[in-house]
Amino acid sequence: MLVASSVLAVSGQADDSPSTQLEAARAEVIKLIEGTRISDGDIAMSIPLAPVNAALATLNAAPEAQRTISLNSSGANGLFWKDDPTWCGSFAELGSPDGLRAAAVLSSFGLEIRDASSVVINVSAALSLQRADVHWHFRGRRVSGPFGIGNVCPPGGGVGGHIGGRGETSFTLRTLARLSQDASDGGFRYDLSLISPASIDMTLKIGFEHIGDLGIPQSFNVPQGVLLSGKIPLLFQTSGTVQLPDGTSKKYAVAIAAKSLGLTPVAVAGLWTGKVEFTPGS
Amino acid sequence: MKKLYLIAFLFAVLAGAVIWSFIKKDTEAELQAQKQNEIKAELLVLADFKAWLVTQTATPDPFATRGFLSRPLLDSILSGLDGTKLKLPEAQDVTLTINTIRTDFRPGFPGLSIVATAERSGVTADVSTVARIEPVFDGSMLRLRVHVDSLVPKISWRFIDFTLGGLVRDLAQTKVVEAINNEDALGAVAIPLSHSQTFALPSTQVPFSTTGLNAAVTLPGFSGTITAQLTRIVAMPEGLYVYATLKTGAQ
Repeated sequence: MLVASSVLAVSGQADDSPSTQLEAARAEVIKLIEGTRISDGDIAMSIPLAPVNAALATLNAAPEAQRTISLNSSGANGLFWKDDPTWCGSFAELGSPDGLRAAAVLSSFGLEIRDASSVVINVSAALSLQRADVHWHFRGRRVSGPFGIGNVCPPGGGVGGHIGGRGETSFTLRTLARLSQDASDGGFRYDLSLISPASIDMTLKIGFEHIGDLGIPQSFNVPQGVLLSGKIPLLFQTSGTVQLPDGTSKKYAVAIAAKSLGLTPVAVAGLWTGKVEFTPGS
Repeated sequence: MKKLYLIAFLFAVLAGAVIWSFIKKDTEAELQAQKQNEIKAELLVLADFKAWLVTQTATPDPFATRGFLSRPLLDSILSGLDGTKLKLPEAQDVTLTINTIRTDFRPGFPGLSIVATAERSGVTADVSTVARIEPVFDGSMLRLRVHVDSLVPKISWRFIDFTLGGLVRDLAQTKVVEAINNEDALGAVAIPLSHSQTFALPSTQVPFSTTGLNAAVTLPGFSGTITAQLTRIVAMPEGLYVYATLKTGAQ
């Protein structure tokens, strides 16, 4: 009984002492923050992807005009269509320099984590011709001569005019955002590029009175390569000052080196090592 | 007989004064009190920190961003204060020399370890300092001020050591510590922040040629601003975490 009382007294004293309370409180907060602590770098930064998703949601809800890619012709580049063997050199060409106008309305912007250093933004696009001014010239069909001899065109220069066209297609545009760690003063670099499709195929349909609908396959190359590069800086700049008690100050700069980059569905995180150097005489 | 009593009395008084003057005094009690006050302060900070952590765990902010500076990096920056001296405000005849100043972070508590000496009239004593980093958001600047909670010299002295006794009294004045903190007297580290970032995807025209026509594709421009609003600074033994929430504005 005496031993038990002593133990109780000792343990009761230990539990109540400020030092013990402090240790217990420290253990509690360590448990709560565990798993998010950083131990192998000097500078770290994590940025949530939620703002990107929010921006994409804003784009999805934006008026159509703000999410439309337009396509405008600037001049002819040869003929859309020409036929000698059957139609005696009949042809169709762009009717005027600005004769073709199309628009691709973008929708369903969405984010996809591709790997540890890149995300892909997928966008649905619906492309439709808004204007097609096609100049056509029809010279008639070659016919055989008497007794099936020869292969001649009708006399005269033929007829021609301007006609409209129509066409539409849809595709998924994939934009790659490649992330890297900036080697100079930290932060994240991003390079945006279109990765697919490489080209967009659409059939330009022209309704000819004499020969019926003419389908002219068109293929528009999609610009590949980096469209935009930028940088998301570190929250902390890598230079600053130490203000001394005498009112003067010393300038310091942190020379940093990238250590690791990680991308999860919720955030991108980077880790750097750093070495502080004071500016001489500062 | 009366004279004898008087002489004996005077002798006793003199002997007592001599004995008292040679009794050693020290600052052990003050140092103990300093330690207890530090624990109390840390417990208060931990209670607040725990409440914040519980809230963050229960309702995480999807727009939360976080930066981190390691202790070794901060120590390297703080080493810029090594060897600095200052005349203590409110006790101008005492010179405090900061030999070293380093982080002594504990969970939730941005403690500082300062090795310092105080000098008064040619007498020098080591000083036990309880200090911590006090973060101040100053527009686009994060200032890490050196905040002192108490200064206690680590010495023992006798009554006749008037200089040492005076030094102890000078440092024990509350107004000295208050004046140090009010005047930022121990210095600070200023870290510029990049808390606002504007990005712009300009409207782009990409020319191309295909069968029958030359044309250009026009991509719509898009720009926006991301602003980080600092929410909390958390010290842990490994370093300093700075939390912020991001605000976006598309244009």
